[in-house]
Amino acid sequence: MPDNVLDIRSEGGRHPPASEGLWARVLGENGIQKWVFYIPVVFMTLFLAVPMALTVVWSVFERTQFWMAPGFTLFAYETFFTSARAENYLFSMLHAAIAVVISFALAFPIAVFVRRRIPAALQHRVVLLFILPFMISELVRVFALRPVLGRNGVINTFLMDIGVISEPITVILFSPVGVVIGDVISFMPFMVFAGFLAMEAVQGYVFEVCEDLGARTLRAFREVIVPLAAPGIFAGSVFIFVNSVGGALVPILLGGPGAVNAGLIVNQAIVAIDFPLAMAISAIMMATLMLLLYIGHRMFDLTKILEPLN
Amino acid sequence: MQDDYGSIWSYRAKWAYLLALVGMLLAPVFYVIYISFNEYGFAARIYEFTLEWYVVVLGDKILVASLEWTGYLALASVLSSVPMGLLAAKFYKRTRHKVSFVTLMLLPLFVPADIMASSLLVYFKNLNRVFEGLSDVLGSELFYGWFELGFITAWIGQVLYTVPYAFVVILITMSRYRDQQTEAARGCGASAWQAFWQVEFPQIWVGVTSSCAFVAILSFNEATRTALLKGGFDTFANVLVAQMLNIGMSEESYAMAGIMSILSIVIIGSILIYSVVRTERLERERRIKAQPLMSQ
Amino acid sequence: MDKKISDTSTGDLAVETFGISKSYGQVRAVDEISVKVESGQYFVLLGPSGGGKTTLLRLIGGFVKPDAGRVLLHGQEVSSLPPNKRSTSMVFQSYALFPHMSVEKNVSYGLKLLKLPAPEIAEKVASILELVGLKGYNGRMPHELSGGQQQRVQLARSLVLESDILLLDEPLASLDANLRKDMCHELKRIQEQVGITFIHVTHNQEEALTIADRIAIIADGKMIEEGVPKKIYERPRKRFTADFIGQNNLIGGKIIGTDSNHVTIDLGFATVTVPHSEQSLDKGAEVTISVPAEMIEIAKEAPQDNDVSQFLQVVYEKETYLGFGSQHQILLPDGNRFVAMTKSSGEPFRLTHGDDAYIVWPTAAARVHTS
Repeated sequence: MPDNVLDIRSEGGRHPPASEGLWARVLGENGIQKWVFYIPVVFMTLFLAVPMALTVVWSVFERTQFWMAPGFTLFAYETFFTSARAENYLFSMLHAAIAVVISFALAFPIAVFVRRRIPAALQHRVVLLFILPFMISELVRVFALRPVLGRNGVINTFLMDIGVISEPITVILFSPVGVVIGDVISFMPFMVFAGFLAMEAVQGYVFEVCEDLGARTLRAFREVIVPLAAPGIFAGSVFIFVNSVGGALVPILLGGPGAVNAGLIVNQAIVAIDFPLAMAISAIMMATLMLLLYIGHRMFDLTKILEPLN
Repeated sequence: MQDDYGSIWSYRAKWAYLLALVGMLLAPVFYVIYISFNEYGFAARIYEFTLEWYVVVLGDKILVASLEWTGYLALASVLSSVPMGLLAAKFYKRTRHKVSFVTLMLLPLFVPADIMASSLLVYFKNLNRVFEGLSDVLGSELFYGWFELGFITAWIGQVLYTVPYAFVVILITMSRYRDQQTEAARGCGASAWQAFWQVEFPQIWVGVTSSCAFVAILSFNEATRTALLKGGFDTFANVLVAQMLNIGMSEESYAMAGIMSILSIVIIGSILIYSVVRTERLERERRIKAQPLMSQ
Repeated sequence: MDKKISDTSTGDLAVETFGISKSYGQVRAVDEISVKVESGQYFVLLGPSGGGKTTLLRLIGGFVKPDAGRVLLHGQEVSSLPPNKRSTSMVFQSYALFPHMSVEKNVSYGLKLLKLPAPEIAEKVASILELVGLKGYNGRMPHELSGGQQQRVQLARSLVLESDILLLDEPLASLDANLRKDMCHELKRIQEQVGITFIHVTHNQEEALTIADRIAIIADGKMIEEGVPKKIYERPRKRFTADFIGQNNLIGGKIIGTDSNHVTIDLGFATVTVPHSEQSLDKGAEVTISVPAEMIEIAKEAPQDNDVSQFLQVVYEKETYLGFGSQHQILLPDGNRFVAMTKSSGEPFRLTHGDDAYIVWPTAAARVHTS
């Protein structure tokens, strides 16, 4: 056994030579400066938090011909609440809620099934399966519903061919029904992901314990699984709800005359160069969002969703 | 299947339902692609396979220019969102204010496109005015037009949209990484950057590349924010939306939708296949490791 | 100063901390600890989980910044230096090998960072692998190695850098019991051969007593006591140490008399005499005495009153067979219980539950603790 390999008793060990050079001096001792890690926070604050906060400020400005002037007036809010817009906003919330319920009913059982019956190592493959529709542009997925739901579309042609109906069904496109269908198709993958994330909170053994204690499936579901998965379900629902009310794309493509939501109204306001109005509606929309998140947090403690990430 | 007592038909039925749901989401898209290859377009009685519409689209100078802009925007988004997502993931691990930080980073997911974009629009316009006023006061042209509606503003909108996704994907990948390895590398004499690049990155590169793909796809699929925040150019998706609303569903529109969809499918499909192959390989390695070894 | 025969320390200080503290939020993980480690010593930080010993180690290594206090390595202040600038090297509990690099690449990582020439690196790697008993394993990947082998590679990776001070953070905790014993001896062998300072954190007493030249007991962020293993085990100064190390019976009492060699203590139901310790002991003070379980004998009749042993009248409760010996549960008159350990003698034990009995121990075996 060689003795002379390590002869270290004398000095205080080796210090690596400080790498000189421009790079080292620029990047500092660690090769990376501490402030670099603050870039995301700064960016998001500057370009998301600040504009959102200012939206409220701008909503009380006065409208001018091509822009707006600083001031304080509730005219924009008045316009909103006294016109048909407020009614449309409420209706769009109703449609959004329906879309959430349908998405939940369709998507959540899948998350439960995967969590319960599929080995842990393969579960993420199912997630990947749903990433595919998610990654096809919402534009195309919604646009694609026109040839399917339209008067001459696949559904009507099929139903007429097999003789179930004699006239094409028109209510499924260019109507609130079409909007709901569009929202569901658009956002369901997200509900699946939220469902998976929510089910992360439900460990495999929970199912076994339920069976062991004799809880019937539906009861176990209602009393054990849903409460555990509630934070994730709620987050997914808020996402769908908010994007259904605020996304103009679906009503534009599938809604037909009169099917308006907040996003569409904002667009219209901007086209009409009425910026305070656009800001007012945005502010109301954001307030709705904040309220929902706050309620959800009080009821479910949304921070639990983060645990799988740790 | 984990339940020895459950019925196999119930298991198969649930799988069928799952696949049916995916199918339902994808079917309309495949139908559109199907139509795009039809000589006679939609609602025609006869079907004749052709690539004609794709040729028309790719030969159209305006459309090709929009494709280029789409590419630049997607590239700019990837080059900024992914590093930012990486920095954010590292910041998240160290900070004590985890909840507020995550809320900030994931907020864009909960603010609808139109709302976020219109607020940003007004914000940029105001910023420009403020900067112009500042420039006038200082007597220099330095601050003019930083946030004029153009590439930079559209790019900022994209970054806000895609960073949450990059952040989450990278965070999930990093959760499997052990920090002791960075510490061990530091103990061996590595600087923070060396430890990251030589030890950490080789283990998280899959998550990083996936998020690059996601960000790119999300970027070129996106139309709303770009529409409101751009200036002086159009992206492919913008042109498609304009066509949908004004011209209706022309054969070119179908081909354009086809191009976008096929691109996404190919990229995601490759990632899916690669991921499956890789987990098989890692499973094999794990099985080797799990074999009992003599105490040494 | 008493030292073990195998102690290779040279006398000068490798590591010194002065009043070092670290808090995480409200929790004081390390509370003003001052410790001295000599060069070439095998120093063990022993204590319960969550007591601060790992934090202390990481403070020495530079992985954590202290809130207060200083760290000196070989007399030089290093408190603000990051790990890559200190002359320490760390071995972790597990998962610290770079999985995407072979054994060779892992071990040579630090050397490559120093930009040493390739032949020199190869030579050093080969020697160090031989030293830790992994000759020829250069090409293996971490996932192909057993737990013990992985720890040896970590050792090799740290030792090859020729740092003076090796920090080991519960290096044996993830190994199974048999392997742990073997690796324990291996660590000591390597340390003696190489002659550098080892600071080893563990919560396992056996490990500590086997390999340490000196042990420091760390709990609740404070250093409770420090000394050579024999003294820590046989003559612990603090009540906590007596409670934590070995199997000791503790009971409270009041001092009713002292002389130069002994202290008389009233337990309430009896009085006993205990050797004097170095602390100041006043009449009337409330103290605790500790008696090692293995020093207690059980007798049926009252022994002769003499100077060299103490006894108490008790009730015998039960016996638990342990293999190499038995553990006996004893009921004291005040309701407390004592435990006595006897070695298996081949003869059946004569007492049963409820029998009156006496426990006897050598006077010199007990100790008194004021805190």
